[in-house]
Amino acid sequence: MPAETAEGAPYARWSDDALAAWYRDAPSDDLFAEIVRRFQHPVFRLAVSVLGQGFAADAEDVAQEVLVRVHLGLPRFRGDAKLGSWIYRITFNLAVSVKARTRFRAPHLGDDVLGETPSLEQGPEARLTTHAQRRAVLESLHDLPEVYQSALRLHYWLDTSVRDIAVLLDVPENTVKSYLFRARQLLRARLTERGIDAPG
Amino acid sequence: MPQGDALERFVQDALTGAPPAMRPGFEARLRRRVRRRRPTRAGGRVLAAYGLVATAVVVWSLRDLPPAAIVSSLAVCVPVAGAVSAYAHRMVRGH
Repeated sequence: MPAETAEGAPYARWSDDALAAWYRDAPSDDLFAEIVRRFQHPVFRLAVSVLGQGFAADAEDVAQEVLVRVHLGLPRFRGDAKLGSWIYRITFNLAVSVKARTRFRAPHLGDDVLGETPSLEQGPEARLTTHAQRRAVLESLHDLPEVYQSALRLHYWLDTSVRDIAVLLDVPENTVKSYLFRARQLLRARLTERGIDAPG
Repeated sequence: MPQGDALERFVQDALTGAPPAMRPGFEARLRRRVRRRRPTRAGGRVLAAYGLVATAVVVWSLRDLPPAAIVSSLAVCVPVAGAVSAYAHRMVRGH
């Protein structure tokens, strides 16, 4: 596989499905390099959205493993689904199973995950409250169904548009909006159970 | 209870930090993993010699056994060896 597939190379203009079909008939390093170029970042992003903050290295391992599976599985890929849908489904499922292991290894939220220390302009009490609220939100987030967590992280943390989330999760845009709405509802209920009020 | 925009602000405040990026060398590492590994010419000769010697040893050590025992042991051992070999190949290619 060449290190780079230059922009303007013939494959760069091919559709994903054309790439997959050609690769199935005549696998080549150049074609696989193009597939990697197109999918490595979305796959990593989706894996990060499932695994959460503080698990970037695990997300990268997931991305590597997904692309190895794609390499091994593409010759048998029959094109029943879109290439992207197939790759993202592998990613989501693998990330969820890796997450079960990583949470077992590190089930608690460290300060690195909780983010920056609240502003020093706040008083000590306010800083403590902010920190506690942040922890409550993250812990409540972890209790949500995986697909809701992923949608929330993609939208609010990774700044991904609803349209792009729909592609990554392989659902219509309206379904993504409904995921986000339902996720916020569930999150609100969880926070209320913890006695968390809206910030002033 | 957090409502509407306040809840969104809550989530945004909690999910702080720059989005992570992949480390440099991602593609090079992937390339190493998917590279098809073939033995060198010398390695191929060593493997062929090993196969010949192993076959000779098996034939010699089974020479006194009744044919039915040889056939039944081959019927068990050959598929098991094939399955282990295929599994090992998959492991090597996958990791």
